[in-house]
Amino acid sequence: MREYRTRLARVMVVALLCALSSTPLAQQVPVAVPSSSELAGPFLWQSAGLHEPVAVAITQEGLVAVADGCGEIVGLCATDGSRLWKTSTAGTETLVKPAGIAALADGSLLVADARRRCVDHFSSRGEWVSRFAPAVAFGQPTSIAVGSLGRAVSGAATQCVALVDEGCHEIILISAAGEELRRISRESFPMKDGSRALPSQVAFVGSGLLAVSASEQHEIFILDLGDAAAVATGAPTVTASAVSSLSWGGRGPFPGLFNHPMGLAGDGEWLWIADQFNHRIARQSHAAATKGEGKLAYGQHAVFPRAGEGAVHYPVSIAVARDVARGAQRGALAVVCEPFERRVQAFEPRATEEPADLRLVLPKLEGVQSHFGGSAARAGKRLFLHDPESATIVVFDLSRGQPIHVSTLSGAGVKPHETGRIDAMVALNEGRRLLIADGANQRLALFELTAPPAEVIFEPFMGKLVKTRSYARLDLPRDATIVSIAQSDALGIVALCCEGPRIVTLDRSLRIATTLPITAPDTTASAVAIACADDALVGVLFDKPAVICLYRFADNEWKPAGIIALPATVNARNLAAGPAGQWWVVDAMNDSIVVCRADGTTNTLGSSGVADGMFWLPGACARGEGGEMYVVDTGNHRGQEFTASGEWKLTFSLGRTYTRPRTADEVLKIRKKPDAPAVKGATQ
Amino acid sequence: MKLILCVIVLLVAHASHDAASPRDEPRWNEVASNDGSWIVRWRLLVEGKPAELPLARKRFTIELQIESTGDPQETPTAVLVDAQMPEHLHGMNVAPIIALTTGAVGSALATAEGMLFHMSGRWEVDVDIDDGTTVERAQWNITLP
Repeated sequence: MREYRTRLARVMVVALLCALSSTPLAQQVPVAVPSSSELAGPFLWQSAGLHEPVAVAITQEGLVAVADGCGEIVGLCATDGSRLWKTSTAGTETLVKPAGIAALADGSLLVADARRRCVDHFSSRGEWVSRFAPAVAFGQPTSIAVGSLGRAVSGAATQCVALVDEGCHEIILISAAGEELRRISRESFPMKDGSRALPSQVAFVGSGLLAVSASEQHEIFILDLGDAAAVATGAPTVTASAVSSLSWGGRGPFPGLFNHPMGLAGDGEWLWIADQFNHRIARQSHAAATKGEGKLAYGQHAVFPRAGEGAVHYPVSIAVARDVARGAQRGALAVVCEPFERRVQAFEPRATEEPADLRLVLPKLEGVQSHFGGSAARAGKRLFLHDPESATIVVFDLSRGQPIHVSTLSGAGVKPHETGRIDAMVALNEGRRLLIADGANQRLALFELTAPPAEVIFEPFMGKLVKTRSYARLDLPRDATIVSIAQSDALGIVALCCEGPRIVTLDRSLRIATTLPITAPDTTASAVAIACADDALVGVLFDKPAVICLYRFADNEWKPAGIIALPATVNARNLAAGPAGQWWVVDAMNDSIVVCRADGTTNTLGSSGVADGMFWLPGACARGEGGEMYVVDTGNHRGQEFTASGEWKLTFSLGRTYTRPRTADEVLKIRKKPDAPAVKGATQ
Repeated sequence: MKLILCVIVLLVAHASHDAASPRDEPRWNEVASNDGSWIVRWRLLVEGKPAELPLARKRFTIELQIESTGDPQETPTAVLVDAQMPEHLHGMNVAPIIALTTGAVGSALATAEGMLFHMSGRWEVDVDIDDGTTVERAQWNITLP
């Protein structure tokens, strides 16, 4: 009663003061300033249940076509996202890794298949029409865009296809008839430090203007493709040097900066950028005078897995159209691909002007995050995971029975002690040293932890760089990728280069190195991981069709020593050697670990979901000292430990470890996101 | 007796003069690289003269002598000198000019001119030594009050 009297008195005092004041009460309440996220446009629909949506295109007739990296293209209705058709074949062939999709003016589709090294032409109903540009030699075609070429000097726009070839890091310009017009080399993408960026994705943003994202360099380029007539006729005066460019970017969260920009789209006025590690779609100007300006962005508030509608999480592709049939009406539509959430989301872009008092929404970090990437390393009592967003390595101490975060190594950058993209790690010397493969900086980097492993004290400066060795000094192809590293007492360090494929053998000082090719299965599969068994047997994992090829080193070459075929449904991501001759295969698409025993039998650990014991896009696993298994549950932002017999033991992240298994609802409650279980299938 | 006293005074004066010289020219510091392949000796120069620490907000040069601990014939092919404040997650605001010259057999001399510690606190000096195969780091701390 006394409390109520106190409150009443306070209210009366406030009312009295307001009455005495000449300022009305309503004006003293702060007026809500619209945020950059709210103004960008409302959420329309989402379509879940996809496997790996990596690219999207919109046709004027109201079709949303999605390239699924697992080997499908899917047609969705622009009205509500319902599925219209799905196909996994291109004529007599099977799609393997669709990586890019674009719509031609007549509504038909072009699909780039990175593994089959070709581009296929499909109708708007998903029927295969023909192979597009069969005479053009593709290395690894990925992003594809359709636009008009040049400045249309003759009046009529010349339709053109621009395609990123990640095999040679070039952009290929192809006419609508399928003839190669020109290749744009990396020389057209200069960085301020004199290096050259590598193109990731493309989009036309105007007549003869091509936007290019350079993900690893966090930069956006605008290329002026030059005179239409000259380009179309292949005039010798038009060369790569005729491409003028402007660029902006850098790594960071503020508008105009990016963290791994991927997909691009142009709506005739603005450039839309899928800013992957900032979890947003940024809308920016691409004009020379105002390049990089623009604060509106979608999503930005999704840092939790399975966050609900409108929350964007690791977007990799975007398509925007101004006038699309959506049922009985027409309107603008933006569709975002989020392979991390296995869904696409549609928004209605509305705002064209930005108010001066815009409230800026930056990527939100709510406490400690555990954005673990797809690699893990363990030696002695230390476990190493990495965080792609910040390019750091987190160190866990295992000596107290549960992983305790004791240090963080490195950070984003190009200096020798900094890292760009961490592709692989291996722990050495009982966990006192760590070797990482940095694909963006093209080098191996060896770190040492100064504190003895027995000390469980958080020490942020525990790590120091010992040395680096450039990929260019390993007898590897230019822009090679080392996708995995392992070590054994008998062999030393073995690193897998997916180009070739090749195995690089190094001593622990990194000074002595030998690079040799290995025989690979005659399929479209790519080598993705390497592991060493106790008996100096080396296993190399190929992704799809998934097999483990075994090798032994003898007579100065890698000799095949057997093949372990995996179930046809497996889409393999990573490999570790378990105890008693076991091989552990991380199956990211099926959210499980396949345990291959020495007797030839297999069993599967885990299933799709967020409850403990379940996985969402698992990235890697590592073997503990006692044969236990540490799994990097990338899509759930956590790690999990299993006993040697495969039973769940505990779940851990940077700031939390628990040993009582939680249901999906309990896990989602911990994530503090009331609208979290919005994706079907997430709460199994 | 007077003569003996004079001799003693002269000896003491001479000794004290000798003792003053090392203070005028600070000694070289020595550190092993992080994998033990190199011995790095370093000292600081201000306007071409050896200088004492600290050197807050004043341009200086780091002079380096680098010797291989393994093959005595081995010398660096390139050297990179940089400094950072690990607690503050930043480096210097300037880029030093680095010159590398080959000294006696098995050693190299290098200078990094234009270094500047613009803040108080712990600075980590990083010397990355390239032997043509690997780039190995030597590092030490300098704390400015």
